[in-house]
Amino acid sequence: MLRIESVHKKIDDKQVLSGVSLCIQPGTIIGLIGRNGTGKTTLMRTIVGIYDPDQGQVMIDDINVHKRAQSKKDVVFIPDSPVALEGYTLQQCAQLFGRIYPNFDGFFFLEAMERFQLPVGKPVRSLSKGMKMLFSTALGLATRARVIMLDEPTNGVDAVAKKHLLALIMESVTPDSAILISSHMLHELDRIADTVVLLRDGRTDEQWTLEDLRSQVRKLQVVFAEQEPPAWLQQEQVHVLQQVGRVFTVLIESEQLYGTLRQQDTLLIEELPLTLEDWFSWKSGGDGDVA
Amino acid sequence: MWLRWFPSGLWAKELRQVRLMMWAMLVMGLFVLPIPHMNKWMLDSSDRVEDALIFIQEHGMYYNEYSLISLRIILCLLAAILAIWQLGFERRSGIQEFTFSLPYSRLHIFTTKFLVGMSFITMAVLVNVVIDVVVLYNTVAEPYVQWDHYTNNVVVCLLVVYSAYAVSLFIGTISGSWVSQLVFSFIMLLLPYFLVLQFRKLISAFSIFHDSYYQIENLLPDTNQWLNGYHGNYSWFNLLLLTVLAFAGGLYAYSRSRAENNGKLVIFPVWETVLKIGFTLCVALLGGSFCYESIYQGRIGYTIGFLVAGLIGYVLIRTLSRMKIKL
Repeated sequence: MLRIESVHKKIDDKQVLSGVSLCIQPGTIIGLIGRNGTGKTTLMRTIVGIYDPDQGQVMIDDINVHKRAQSKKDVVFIPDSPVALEGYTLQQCAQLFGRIYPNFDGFFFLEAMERFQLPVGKPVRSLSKGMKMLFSTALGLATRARVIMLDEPTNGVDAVAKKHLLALIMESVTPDSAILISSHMLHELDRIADTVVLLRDGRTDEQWTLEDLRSQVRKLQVVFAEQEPPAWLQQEQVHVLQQVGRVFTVLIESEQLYGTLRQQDTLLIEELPLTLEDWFSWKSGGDGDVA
Repeated sequence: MWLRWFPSGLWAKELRQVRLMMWAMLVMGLFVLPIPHMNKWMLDSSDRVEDALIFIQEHGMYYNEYSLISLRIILCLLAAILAIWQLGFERRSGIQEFTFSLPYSRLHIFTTKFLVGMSFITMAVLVNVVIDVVVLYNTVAEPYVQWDHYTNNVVVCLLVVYSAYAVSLFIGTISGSWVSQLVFSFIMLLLPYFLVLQFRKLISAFSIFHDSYYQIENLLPDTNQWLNGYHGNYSWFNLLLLTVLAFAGGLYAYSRSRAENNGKLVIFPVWETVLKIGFTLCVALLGGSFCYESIYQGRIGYTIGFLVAGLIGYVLIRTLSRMKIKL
């Protein structure tokens, strides 16, 4: 449906995107993750036409988004703060979007506002940060566009509202549409995303369906018999998440490594549930202080 | 077809964004055209009205009573503010990002902005002129109004404000912030005078081309004549041409707008180069003439002032052009 082909973008002499390629399939929720400054927002802005790519292209159904602006009726971007709509009331925003997006679902929007207990007659600027995000996410979802991009939708949203918001996002995906979410809240993406894309140094280095990720990457708690950590841990495809004495929590990416581990002198090998945060810590070269 | 070129969503957004300016133009126009006429011919004491009538019976009506100069100037000013609001403020408040994300091409967006501005100007001029005509028609001065001249001045007023608006909008398409748009608009008005003055000093300092500065002056556009020329001998064609060229330039620049450079002085590298050269040259000319006038007369004084000021100007503009202003 939406194809991003080798997109490059330089801002202020800094190469922010250096060959992003991505394919967004209908009926999926895609989590876009990466550390600060890796270009997540720049990528979304480039996809929707706010920025022009220096190289590469963004295609929706084989139509170049940057050459045919009308195709953006099917691509909506909701930024992390709806500053442009601050002067409007919530109702006026819905009217405006109704005029712009042909499939805008006013009923869905009003229902969402009721669900979040947001006053439709009040100006956007009078809402709190969290309420603004609830409102703008619902507004974006109500466009019924085929690709909806949400930049940090849960930013500032309280725990109860977050639960409703995530439910709303999940309900909004249809077999014909997809939602791309950029978020630092990896445990949320863990719950709702079908696919994760890791952006590193302006490139989409890794793309996984969460199902594949969980079946191929293993999180293990291992206790070695010897005091000294064995050489097995030094391998490239082994990532030590944590070490407490002789107890290591590791991530491994191949079945073969698991086989070699079993040949080691171990007291315990226990498989733990893999979280997105574990994998992210590994792949972004971090220490768990992620996104 | 109609909907394609006039999409209600885009028009609604653009109109809402600057609707206050429409009221400002209408109301300010009232204060400079129909209300002064009403005061003079309807509300003033009968003695004074009679005196004024005797005067125009003997000398004819004052030209400035129907030249619409005040309306022209006030609307030019408001049109420049409108252009700043449409482009400069949009860059500042994140509205441009929203606008660019909408399913409309940039050509379409810019054309809509331009048409909104032109509609405001047309409406402000026509509404005020109609009220003014009604006022004049109902005064004792009516037989002395030269309606053919009046009509000509209405057209000139429209064309002058159109061109000023189009130029302001063009400046907005290359400026990176509302501050730089404001500054560049102001500089554009003063630059011809400044250049004439500085070239005069340059010629004087180097004692060459003694008779040439008048020729140079003639070559430069007379902005005074453009915006508030007193006599109605304007070329409609030139004003229209200026409007069309500024619109075309704006359209070209806006379609290539680089939102990532918002906040900078200018958003295109090529214009940044032009700005650097232009600014350095202007500061150098200013420094040269200052040194020549105040410190050391002669070519050496001028040259030293020119070089030192040029260097300072270059460093200054290089620093400024690297900054992103967020006001």
